[in-house]
Amino acid sequence: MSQNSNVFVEMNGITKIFPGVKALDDVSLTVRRGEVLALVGENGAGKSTLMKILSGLYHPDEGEIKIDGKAVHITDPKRAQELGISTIFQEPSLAPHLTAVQNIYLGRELTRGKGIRTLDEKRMLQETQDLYSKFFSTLGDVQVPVSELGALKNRVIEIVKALSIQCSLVIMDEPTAALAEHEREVLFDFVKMLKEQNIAVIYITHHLRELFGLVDRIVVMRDGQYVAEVTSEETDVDDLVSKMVGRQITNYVVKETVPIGEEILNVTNLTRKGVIEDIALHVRKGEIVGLAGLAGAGRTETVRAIVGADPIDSGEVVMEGKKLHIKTPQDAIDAGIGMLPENRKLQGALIDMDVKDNITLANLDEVLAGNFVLKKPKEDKIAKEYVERLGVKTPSIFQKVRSLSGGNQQKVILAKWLFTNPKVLIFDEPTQGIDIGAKHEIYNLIADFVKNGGGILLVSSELPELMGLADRIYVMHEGRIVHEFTHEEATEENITLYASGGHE
Amino acid sequence: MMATEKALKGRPSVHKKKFDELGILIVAIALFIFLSIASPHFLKFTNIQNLLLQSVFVMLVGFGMTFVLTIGGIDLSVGSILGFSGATCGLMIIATGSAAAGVLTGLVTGVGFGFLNGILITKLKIAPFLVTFAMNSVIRGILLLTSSNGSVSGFGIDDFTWLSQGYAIGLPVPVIITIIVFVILLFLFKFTSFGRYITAIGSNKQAAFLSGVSTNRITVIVYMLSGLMAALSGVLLAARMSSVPSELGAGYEMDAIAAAVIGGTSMAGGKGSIIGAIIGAMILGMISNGLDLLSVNQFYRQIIVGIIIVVAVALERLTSLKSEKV
Repeated sequence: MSQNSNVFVEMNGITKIFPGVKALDDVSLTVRRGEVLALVGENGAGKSTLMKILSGLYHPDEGEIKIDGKAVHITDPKRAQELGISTIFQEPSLAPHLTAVQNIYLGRELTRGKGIRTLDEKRMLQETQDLYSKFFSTLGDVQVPVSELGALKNRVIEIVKALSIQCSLVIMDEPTAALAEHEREVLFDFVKMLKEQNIAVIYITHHLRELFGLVDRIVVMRDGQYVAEVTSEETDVDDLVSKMVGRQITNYVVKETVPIGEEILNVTNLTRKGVIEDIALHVRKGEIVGLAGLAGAGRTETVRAIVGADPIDSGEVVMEGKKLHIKTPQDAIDAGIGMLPENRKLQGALIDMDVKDNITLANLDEVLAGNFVLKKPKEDKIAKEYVERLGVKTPSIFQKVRSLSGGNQQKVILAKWLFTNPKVLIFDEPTQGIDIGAKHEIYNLIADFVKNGGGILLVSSELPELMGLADRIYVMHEGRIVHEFTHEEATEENITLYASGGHE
Repeated sequence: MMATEKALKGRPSVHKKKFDELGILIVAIALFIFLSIASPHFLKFTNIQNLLLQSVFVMLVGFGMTFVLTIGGIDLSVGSILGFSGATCGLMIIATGSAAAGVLTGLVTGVGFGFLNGILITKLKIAPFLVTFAMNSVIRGILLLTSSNGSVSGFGIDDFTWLSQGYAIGLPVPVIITIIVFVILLFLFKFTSFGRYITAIGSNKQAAFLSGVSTNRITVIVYMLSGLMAALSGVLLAARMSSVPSELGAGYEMDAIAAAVIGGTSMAGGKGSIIGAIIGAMILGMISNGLDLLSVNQFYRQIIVGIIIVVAVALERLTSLKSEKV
């Protein structure tokens, strides 16, 4: 590549290691002035990590960053701003009770006067309006609390805020996530306007279709590595997907054949307004059913709704032909449904309680004398049985769960649910953040459960895992189930296509 | 994987049935020895009886507070509930002449206010701090309005005053009542599903809820229990003084929190100790009692209590940090 004087940022050989994971492995990225560059990849490909390094939130373990040809250390977000890099994060980051003007100048308010300096409200308002008029034809509602404005206007304020800092590069991480279809169009226009002002944009998205006609170059990442670079003219959604998925599908999950029996769980018309819409799915005896989709597609919301963790607007859950009225997780447990939630530490385990307390919690009635008093010896015995059966590595059943490894914490949670004698178990990202060895043990335990006639609903962002284990896979996109694959039909490519809304 | 296995085996078993309250018990014993040496009157039988009697009123409220703090809540209304329950108890005795009716009314009053606290917290989802803070203010206001001449009195019938002024097996009756309550609550805390659930809710409410624990129901019951304990303390104080001044119980919430926290209960929830609350309340009692005996200005009490709270919590933090670093 010829030396281009137009290059603004050069990241060379960036490596970032988190405990147990190489999040970025020798990644290089170049951004030219005034270009729109898309960064795509699956969950966990390293896009956000790379951008956090560029905006000063993380520091690389190896590699260098050059800005206008000079090596720089981006120590913190403030330094990034000084270098001309503004970031709009995935999560909204405005203070809801402040106005647009107050948000835009938060932390660097303009002041006037000598000695005791007072806020120069007039000048801040004037400059905000100037900024708006520079980019947009109409003035925004800059003097009402931003919480009273919609998602699009909030996004716009974040963009204006990013621009109010003299910047040459704006990073947008999933900027359209909270926006409706027509609002996205408006946002795309803003991106084009930035380009006209010779401001570069790095655009991260899961919605691949958005990229065409919007971006100049597309960089694909996978498993923390740079994979490919294409222009939007020379590619299409299918091509991008295959590049994102890319890896030789290592057959590390061996599917065991289990005879599939009659239907156990049947969900119809499950709706929680604005979150999930008209979900219908069923699980049979001996069957593992997968639920695929991108982050935010509504998978977790679906399983939470099934077990009564969140209220629903409508929907019917039938268990072995009997209609259930599930209002709380206790009702689900009574009906024979257990759920291992995503995020082990926040929702699954009680990490400051001991192994035994965790195992018996969901079915404490089993170890009571009368309906009140704990039979401690019986409880200890049960806990020991499950620890042995599942191979939980712990010095004793009185060990605090906090000090166990991720895989063993997950086994403790699984023990808790097995102890409730469930007919259906729902796993939400059961192997997130646990090492390969422990993953295999979890897979074996899942296989044991279906061999004994149980049914499983498995939410996972790891497609090889999902495809390897599941007999059928439902794919979700924007709160709906958009497709159902059999084990044989499912490929990473076509799942990703449907999950990205690419079928529309 | 082999490495982890090896590491696990190589690591010494962390689990020792250690006595969590040991640190603060040593502080209490040190204080006891110091006072025995500093004042010739401290070890006298009547003074010890006095000390116990002074401590039990806060101790009872502290028991309830321990449950509330363990689920990750707080109850700032106990002081007013205490005063109000003492007053309804007194008024009932005046009306009926029956000590039993009075005591029952007082206790029901406390449970009722606790129920109200619990409902507001769980149904309206208002922070416990705000609900009980507001409740404290409202209840005290009603009490001040109803006892127009500054106190409720005229209910000092013998049946009733015996509750606080009588003796049985050489101990003041309130001390015996407190011991019985302690045994029941300790059992409840350590050996029942209820106790397990409150610790679980305080440790991780979301995980407990997803495991089928009725978090709302348990929360309401815990606030009712706190109200009951405050009311019991209020009834016994009424019996002791034969009158309920409208300021009765003011500030008890702080002493109750102090007793619980000194005893090792965590303000963040998930960890509580009934035995600790006893030790905490005894330390508070000994400080007051000691300052009296040594003729030191009682205002020093506040300073000393403040320092002890900080030291106790710091000690707890240091030891729990150590045990985390397995």
